[in-house]
Amino acid sequence: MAKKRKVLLVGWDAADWKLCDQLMAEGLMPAFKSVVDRGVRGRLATLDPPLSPMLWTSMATGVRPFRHGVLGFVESNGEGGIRPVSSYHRKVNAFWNMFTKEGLKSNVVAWWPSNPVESINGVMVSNRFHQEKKGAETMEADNWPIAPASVYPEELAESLAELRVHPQEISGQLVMPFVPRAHELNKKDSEETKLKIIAKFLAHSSTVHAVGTELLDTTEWDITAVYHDALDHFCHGFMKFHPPRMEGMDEEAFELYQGVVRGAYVWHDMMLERMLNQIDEDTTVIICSDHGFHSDHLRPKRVPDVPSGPAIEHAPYGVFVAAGPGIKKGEQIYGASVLDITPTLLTLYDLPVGRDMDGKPLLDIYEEIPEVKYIDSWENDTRFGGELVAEDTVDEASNSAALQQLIDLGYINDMELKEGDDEAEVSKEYVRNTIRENNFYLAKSYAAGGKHDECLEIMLEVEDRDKPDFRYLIEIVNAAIKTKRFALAQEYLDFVKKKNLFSDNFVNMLEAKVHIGLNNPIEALKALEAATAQYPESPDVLVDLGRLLNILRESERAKEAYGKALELDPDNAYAHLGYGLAAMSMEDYETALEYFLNSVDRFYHQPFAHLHLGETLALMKEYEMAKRSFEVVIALAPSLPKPYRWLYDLAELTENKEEMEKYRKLLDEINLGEKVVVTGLPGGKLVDVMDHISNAGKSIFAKEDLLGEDFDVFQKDWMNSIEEDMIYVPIAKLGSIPARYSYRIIYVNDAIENVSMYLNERKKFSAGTYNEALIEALERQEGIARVWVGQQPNLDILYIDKAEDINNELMQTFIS
Amino acid sequence: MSEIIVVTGLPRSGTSLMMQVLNQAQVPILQDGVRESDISNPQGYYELEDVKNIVADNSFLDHAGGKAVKIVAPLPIYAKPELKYKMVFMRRDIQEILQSQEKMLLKDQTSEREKFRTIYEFHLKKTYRFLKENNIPFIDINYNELMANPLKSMQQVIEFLGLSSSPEQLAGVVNPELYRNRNEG
Repeated sequence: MAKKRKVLLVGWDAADWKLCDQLMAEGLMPAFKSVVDRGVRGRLATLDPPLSPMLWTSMATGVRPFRHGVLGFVESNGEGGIRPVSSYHRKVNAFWNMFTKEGLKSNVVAWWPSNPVESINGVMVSNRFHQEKKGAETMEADNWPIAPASVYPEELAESLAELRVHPQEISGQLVMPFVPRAHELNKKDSEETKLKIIAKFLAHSSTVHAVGTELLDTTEWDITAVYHDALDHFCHGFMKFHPPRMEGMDEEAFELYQGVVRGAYVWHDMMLERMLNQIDEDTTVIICSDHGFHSDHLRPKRVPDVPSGPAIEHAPYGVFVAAGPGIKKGEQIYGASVLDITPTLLTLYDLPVGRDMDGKPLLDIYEEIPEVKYIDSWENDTRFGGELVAEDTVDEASNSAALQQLIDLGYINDMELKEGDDEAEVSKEYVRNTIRENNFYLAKSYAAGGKHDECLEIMLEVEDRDKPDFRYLIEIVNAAIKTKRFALAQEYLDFVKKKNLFSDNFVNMLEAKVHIGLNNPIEALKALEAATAQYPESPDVLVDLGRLLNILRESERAKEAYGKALELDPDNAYAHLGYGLAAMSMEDYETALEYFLNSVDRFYHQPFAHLHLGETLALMKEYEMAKRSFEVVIALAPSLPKPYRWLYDLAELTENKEEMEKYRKLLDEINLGEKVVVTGLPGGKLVDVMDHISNAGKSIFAKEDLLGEDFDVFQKDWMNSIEEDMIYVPIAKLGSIPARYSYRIIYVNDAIENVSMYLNERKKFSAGTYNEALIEALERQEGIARVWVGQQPNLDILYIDKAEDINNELMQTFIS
Repeated sequence: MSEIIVVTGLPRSGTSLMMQVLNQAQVPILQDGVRESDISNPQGYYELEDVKNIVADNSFLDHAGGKAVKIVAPLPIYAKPELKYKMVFMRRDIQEILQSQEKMLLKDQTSEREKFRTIYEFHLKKTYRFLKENNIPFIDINYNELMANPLKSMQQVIEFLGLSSSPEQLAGVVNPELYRNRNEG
């Protein structure tokens, strides 16, 4: 019989690969390295907004914050006040509840948030357990009762309380490894405070570590999950001193504190080493972080003075390492997200994954991919999974101390009371603003989950023009653009311009998006070029510019813009995707493949990136791999028709009748039908062909202008209402025909010089008979169209050289 | 017990007018007269103060069977789904609604029109979703059509609610003089 699976899950808030790799290379993180060497590693994509309590709850539940209900750092206490986030607001099962239902034993230490603790099968020690403050007072080490509802089962409270380390117990000597020259400090108040902060972080993490190691040794368990917030706190406090010295950083301060962050990583590795020594090699070890932390040139120069402002220092990818029986060794996995941790834990125990989870099990970690079981939802499982040990009561002193901690860390603003202010009124306003802020996080979480209507609805309710907040306004403009409410976006842009709330380049960027939405790419390009000129080092502007150039099929220039964006931000998933698309349209499939892989590695939940990846692989004749990519697209976006077409074509190519049948059926369900399209360079021959078709009694839907200036393919469902036998689609608009139809395309070949002459005459262009610019444009356009048709799965194409050919048998069969 | 008749719709879409019609049809009205008539609604608002607090307390609906109550959108979503309702949903061109509201509030909100338009779209969507999810029978009455052809609209209301009045009796309530803020742009 296989040995029972045991898992040690270690959470290091804000751990980042950049520093981990550097310190491993220097031999300073041997414990972490030992796990990496015998397991798989990957980047763990964070969620927006990257706020730890929301992220760790997503990690523990597999769902996004708008579903789990933990929003921000504080929450309403139901009595008109606020308190630090707690377990009260979590609306769904966490893995420890699921495991309890299944009879598995969990130890959960310090998860954020986990107060009050829950009566699970196992032991739970909350994130408030190590709190040494009560109200404004710091309790003395010898008179230090534990925070209410912070230990389950309660009978363990006393013995575990003994393990706590009080900040007063951290001597100067213990701080020395972090600040070796502490003795040189000239004892200015602020310097003293910095040392005290380090002592506090050390004390808190020592407590978490002590409880974790105790439970590993003294309890029976299936999973032990230990969460450390200290690394994040160390980084927020001291990353600005980390080498290389940031511009403007005081040299003396840099010398003193430059080793603190490194010291914090080493300290975490030491704690990890102890835990690894406590477990056997059959225990699976998972180490993960909720986001990374910028440690290089991407460190922000200043932290914005807004709630959760410090989150700007977070990098979008955390770490993920897993090692143990049945898990691959020395390999890298791609596309992992914080949402995937719980589904993956479930598969480790052969337990079903909820279909309603936003995350997916990370099957690439396994040497042999297990068969995953699914259930609709763990929320329908009525078995006992643990319940909160405390009623929803207000413990003012404990709450206010925890709130103060969040204020000290810069995560929430303090209440500002000026002379003459009515305290009750100010307090009410403070609570209102805090709840408003949480609604903003909720809206952001909806947007990150692709629910832009829900985001917009919330933002319009919380936005207040008398107290404009640039973050809220950006969210509204973006959501308005995403939901194609361009007039609304423009209304807000007019407001921010009037009030001068954003920088010009930012307004330009957003206006460009509105222009794109309104099918006005030339205006959009102007706005973006202005933004790039104003702010040449913004990866976001460059990505937008690249996207637009791709729309305009200016592939070379698009590559250039994306290339610059990647120099500035090598992890930008959208820049990788855009670069790949530009390469793909230039038929450089090897490059496209490389960039699409980079993109989905950095951000997995992008159906279109997987689609283009699959298309590239198919065009490179890597059919099996292409198939896998299309299957991912279907999993991520089941209503997208193209992957089904590709899968049908691939099945046909590999003569897999069963699959052909399967995808034929699926296609029939989503396919809107077949359309016959006439296209070609807009010259005399095209006109002849269309005349011939009309004379043969077939009707053609065609606009007046052969160049398609009057042809708006961006209109939603424009093709649905067309009843004619055939549709003329201008060659420049060919790439925009909707994917839910199959097509037979009659492509009229004509010599570019003839077309140029025809257009010169008809359009009375001033260049006379030889119009070099026009010829170049036509050549480009035709090149693009030919590449595009060659890359599509859902069309059959027949080229026609002269109008009379329309009468031949092959053509008649084709169009009938 | 008979259904609660709820008149809903966005503010300034003819909800008070419909309450007046129901009053004319001898349907008992749930109202408290706290909000007096004014120049924007000379015939009165037919409102119940409790409705404003429906999010926290919807118990006033327990005794509303057989009566008509005005609950503007999206507040019907806070009604008790277990009770029986028939809803008359007043619809009016949103542009006209916005103009009418601006006039009533004496406030130029032209720079926020899209914002309010979008908020109202969400309110309508939410309310319809609630009605559909809870299988609540409802009828859409278009304010503009009501003004243009009161007899036809009254006939629809009579049939939907099973009223014994004739369209002529009720149509008299509709006063095209009150049809201001027509969107002719």
